[in-house]
Amino acid sequence: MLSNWNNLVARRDLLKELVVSELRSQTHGTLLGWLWWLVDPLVMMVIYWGVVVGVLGRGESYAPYPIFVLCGLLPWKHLSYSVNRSTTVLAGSEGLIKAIPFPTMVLPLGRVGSGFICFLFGLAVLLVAAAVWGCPPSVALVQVPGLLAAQLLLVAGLSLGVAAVGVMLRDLAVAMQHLMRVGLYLTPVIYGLDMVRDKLGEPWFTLYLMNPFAIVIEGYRSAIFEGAFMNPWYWPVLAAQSVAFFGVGYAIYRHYDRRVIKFL
Amino acid sequence: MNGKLPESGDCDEGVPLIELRGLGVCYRRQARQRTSVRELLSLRFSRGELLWALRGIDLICSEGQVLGVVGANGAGKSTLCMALAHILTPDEGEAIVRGKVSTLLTLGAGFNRDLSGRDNILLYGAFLGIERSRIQGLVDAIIDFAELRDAIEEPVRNYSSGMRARLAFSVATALEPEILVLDEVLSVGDRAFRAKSRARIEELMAASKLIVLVSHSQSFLRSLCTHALWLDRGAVRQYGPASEVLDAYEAATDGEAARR
Repeated sequence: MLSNWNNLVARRDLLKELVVSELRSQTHGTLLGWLWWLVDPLVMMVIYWGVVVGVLGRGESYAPYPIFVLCGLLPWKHLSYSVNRSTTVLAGSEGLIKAIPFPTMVLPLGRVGSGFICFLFGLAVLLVAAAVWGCPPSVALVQVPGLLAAQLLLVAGLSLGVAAVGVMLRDLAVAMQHLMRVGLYLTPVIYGLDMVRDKLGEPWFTLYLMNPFAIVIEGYRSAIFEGAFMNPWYWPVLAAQSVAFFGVGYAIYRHYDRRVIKFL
Repeated sequence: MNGKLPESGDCDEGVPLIELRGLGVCYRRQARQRTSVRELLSLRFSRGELLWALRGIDLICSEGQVLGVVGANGAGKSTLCMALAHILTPDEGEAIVRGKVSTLLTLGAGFNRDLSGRDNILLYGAFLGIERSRIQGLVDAIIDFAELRDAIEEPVRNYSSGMRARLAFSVATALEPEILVLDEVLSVGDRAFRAKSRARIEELMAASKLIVLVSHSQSFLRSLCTHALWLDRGAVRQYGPASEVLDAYEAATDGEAARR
């Protein structure tokens, strides 16, 4: 069954059921359950905190650094988790795809959705930690819903693209893991966007902003860490990027849609 | 006989439930499962010759038919089932299917091994397109039919393959479809359950308007089918009343066996 809009809408129950079962099965048989999803960003946070603040003695302008770095690590975790799982999800569901008619796009979308629920859980923990650590909630938090929407569109677009191409190009699964690792350092996760602007200068900085996750993370930082509003010009840029990423990812998936099953 | 549609006698009234017009489904034969960088950049994965699993299939089936599909391995029987179920989209022609199709092609592929049997009923039901409210009302009947009352809260990981097949069969046949497509799945579970599943299939067949059966068992097809379709290398070799087509098919395959 093709993943066109009508079929997706008709099968929205399936998408919901996939997200729920994905969340349930992840925590199955583990003692800490959902908390494990938080462990990865928390461990990364402690490592970067130790290296940047402890060893290098930097990051005084980013204090409290743990909150600063978590604002970047959590959305990045959603992205890398969803993209890495999506590259192999279709190949891993071969039996299902060949036995039951359903729009296969729900499989990567289900991964994006379950990752997003985990992210929201992490975000709640971050908000509490920020309040305790000296970044009290402020009116700037009204930016968060817009950031969530942009993040969801960006991650969904990328995941759809790699899911479809990953079926035909099995190397992509391995390549994406490395690309995600490189991307983590190219995106202002462990450092701030202001530092990039100082180092690169205006024209290059504009190019740098083509990475939509730079703006997303800057947004979370302004809302949670600084309690301020980010540069209003970032909003139209981010909106355009989100729509473009989702549109291109969706188009790529639809382009290969009918061929996907034959490659499995 | 190629492509000719004989009048199918008494049940040709009204709008046909299955209407295939020049249906073609092709695969691309790949030398290796590999794509070069140049192909990737051109966004065309075009290496390898086209292989038509089905081509130029014209078929009209009406209410009340039980259609048996026969043919050698690789003749396109499974591809036809997938096209009828809308799993595959035709590359040529069209496949019009009027009514809710239910398939029993491969059983239990959709299970999440870490989830309980009960959660898997809901998930599998969602894959099959059964509405949430509807499946919740069916859960108890499904569990009872599968005879898994004691194990239903356990993760499917701990099930034996027979238990898994029973669960899948019970979910897949929980709803009575209008059009039923069966691809060699009539032997599930142990002997007792097999008799029960056979009875359930006969019930479904009685309830559905049109049945498509793929089987290598001639006697089984003879006992059930009104019509038969003989596929040969992706084309219709013969289509008509079951006994006629099956006789011809048997004669041809016996001849081939004798020649070997």
